[in-house]
Amino acid sequence: MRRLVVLIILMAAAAVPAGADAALNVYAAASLRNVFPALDGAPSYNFAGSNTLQRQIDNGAPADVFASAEPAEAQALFRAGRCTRPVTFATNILVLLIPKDNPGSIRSAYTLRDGGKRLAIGTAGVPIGNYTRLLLRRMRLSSILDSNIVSQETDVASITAKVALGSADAGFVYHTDALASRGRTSELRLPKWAQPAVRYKLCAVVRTGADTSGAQAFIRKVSSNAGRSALRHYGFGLPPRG
Amino acid sequence: MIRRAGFDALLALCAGVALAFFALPIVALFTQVPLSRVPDLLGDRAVRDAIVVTLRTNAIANVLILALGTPTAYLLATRRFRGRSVLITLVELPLVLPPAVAGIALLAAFGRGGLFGGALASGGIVLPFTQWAVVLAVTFVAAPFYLRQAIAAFSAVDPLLPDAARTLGASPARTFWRISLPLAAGGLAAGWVLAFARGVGEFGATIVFAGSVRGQTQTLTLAIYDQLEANFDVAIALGILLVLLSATVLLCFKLLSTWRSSNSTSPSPFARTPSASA
Amino acid sequence: MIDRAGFLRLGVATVVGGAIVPSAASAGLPNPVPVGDDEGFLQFGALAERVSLVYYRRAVKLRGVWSGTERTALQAAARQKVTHVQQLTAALGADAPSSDDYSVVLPDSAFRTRAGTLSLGARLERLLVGVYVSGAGFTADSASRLLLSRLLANDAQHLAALCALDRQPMVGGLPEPVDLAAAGDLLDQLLKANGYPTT
Repeated sequence: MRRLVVLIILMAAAAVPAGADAALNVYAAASLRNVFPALDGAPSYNFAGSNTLQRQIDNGAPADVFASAEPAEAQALFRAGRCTRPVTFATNILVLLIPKDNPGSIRSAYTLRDGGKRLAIGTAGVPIGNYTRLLLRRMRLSSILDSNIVSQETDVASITAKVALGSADAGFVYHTDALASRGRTSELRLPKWAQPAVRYKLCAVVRTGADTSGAQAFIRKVSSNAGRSALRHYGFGLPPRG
Repeated sequence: MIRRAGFDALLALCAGVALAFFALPIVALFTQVPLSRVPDLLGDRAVRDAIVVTLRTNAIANVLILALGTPTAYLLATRRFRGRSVLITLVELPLVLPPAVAGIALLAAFGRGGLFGGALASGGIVLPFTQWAVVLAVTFVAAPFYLRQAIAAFSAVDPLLPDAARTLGASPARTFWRISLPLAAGGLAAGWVLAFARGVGEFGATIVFAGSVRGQTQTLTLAIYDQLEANFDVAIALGILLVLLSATVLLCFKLLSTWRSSNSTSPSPFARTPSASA
Repeated sequence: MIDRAGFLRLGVATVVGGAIVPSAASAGLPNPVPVGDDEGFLQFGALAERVSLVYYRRAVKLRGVWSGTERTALQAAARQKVTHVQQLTAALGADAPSSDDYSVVLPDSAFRTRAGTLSLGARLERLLVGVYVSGAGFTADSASRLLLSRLLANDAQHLAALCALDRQPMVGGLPEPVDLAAAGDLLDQLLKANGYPTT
């Protein structure tokens, strides 16, 4: 009996979360899930929708770096004094993703006007969702959200997964996600003139008592030549230097 | 004397911490939004859609669970055959399976690219993003709760009684309907109540297999997740609704257990038998 | 019968006169508040007017092609285009495209001859007129519709002036609404998005 009690206490002690972790905590938009670990394998990553991450950081999550897929989240944190001034480090474009066998017979975004297809898009708060809705307003296709069966996903990785598995006939994702899933999907380009200006922002999270040197080093790495070349390789666009 | 008082104090302290830990989040839920606003918040269109979807899919799922689960439980409880324990373990498996895994498994079986996906598609049936996908997901995760209780309930029926019915000339079907089922009814109802609660609360399998389509597959739990960003107050109101629903379910379960233990003529682990049966 | 010189003077007067119309007249007009898909017409307009502006500025710089009055007319047109871009940018608000996002790519071959230059300009104006006609018909917000109609009136004058400079008769009949999708495909050929992925 006594041995059992000792065992339980030891297990509890082992489960107690460790104190100041040596690894950097990077909270990044879901579309960066392939390029960031390839660029730097050391930090511990948390990939999710940028709005979800912003809420987590607002509630005190122990992030060191925040990378969002649209300026709004990073700027909101900056105005609240929770992070340093955000810098633009990458751009992207929206594409229409379809499964390789194209069960919905979709030739372009305009095919969706016919209705009745299974469409996966982002929710109204997540960057991909906001960008998609802006694109649809510009193409005058907002009605496709009513005439099709639309599943709203919390991040772009879920949209990509639904299309790749054939659950959805089409999904609005970034070009980088289309590249990542090119074995199981094809991408249909969307008009240049209607594209939203997708701007990725990077900033170091400010927490009392935590030092930001690791975060600054990570940010420098992403902005360096190696970082830019990795971003280009994975299909991102780059802002002009400086 | 002092050691006993000290021990009692320690027990009280642990209990106090545990109870506070369980009570505080529930209480906090009720304090975040003025309760008078809750009915208005629940009138939101997304909430009404979610309630309709949840009721419809769970009704169908529960009918399936009862219709298929009751005979299955009766078979597993009363017949002895080789592999019986393996089958019982199989029906209990979804209990320990993480819900998201259940979702992926359902996709692998019934999704468009899955094992039966091709056959279904040629029949014109594509399950993801439809209400039938929600029904399947709910049935998959909730059925084991019913089955486990049902097997226990049927096993608890005193075998002398159905035997007596058989010797008096009743067919096996009649014995089941008139003897075993009414005697096990209390346990079956208690099991069903648990399955119902689990089904209403399902999230992971639904969102992976059925997606979150407002008005079609977005159940109450999926709606909470959706509203978390859009309108936090609505999410709180949904939480309050589900807490009240779960509390009602738990109360039913308690009442049914009491009723069963006082009504049953069979020796059951829960019943207080006044004397051994003759 | 008006002779060529008279026709030219008429064309120049139309353009210059249009530029002088006091903009104070617009002080009392309602601000556009685009609703839903109205943004499509405004966004197209904002980018296409910018392309047209770049065209006029480049056309003005051509040597040995224009007479004094003709060059003045083209400069006035360019100034009007700046106003158009400002109006559309204001109407779009936060979602307006910025000049950082796009650069304009015009075909060099068109600018080698006077006829080629004028023909390119007329094509751009015709595209704008067609989209604005469509916009005037299908925009939900009335203030946005008013803005598109005013832009339509101006650009129709520009089209007439360019046709006059090229001694082309204005095509008879009502201008047709141009499908936004088709117009967008043509516009895409003249735009380069900055920071566009290269893989």
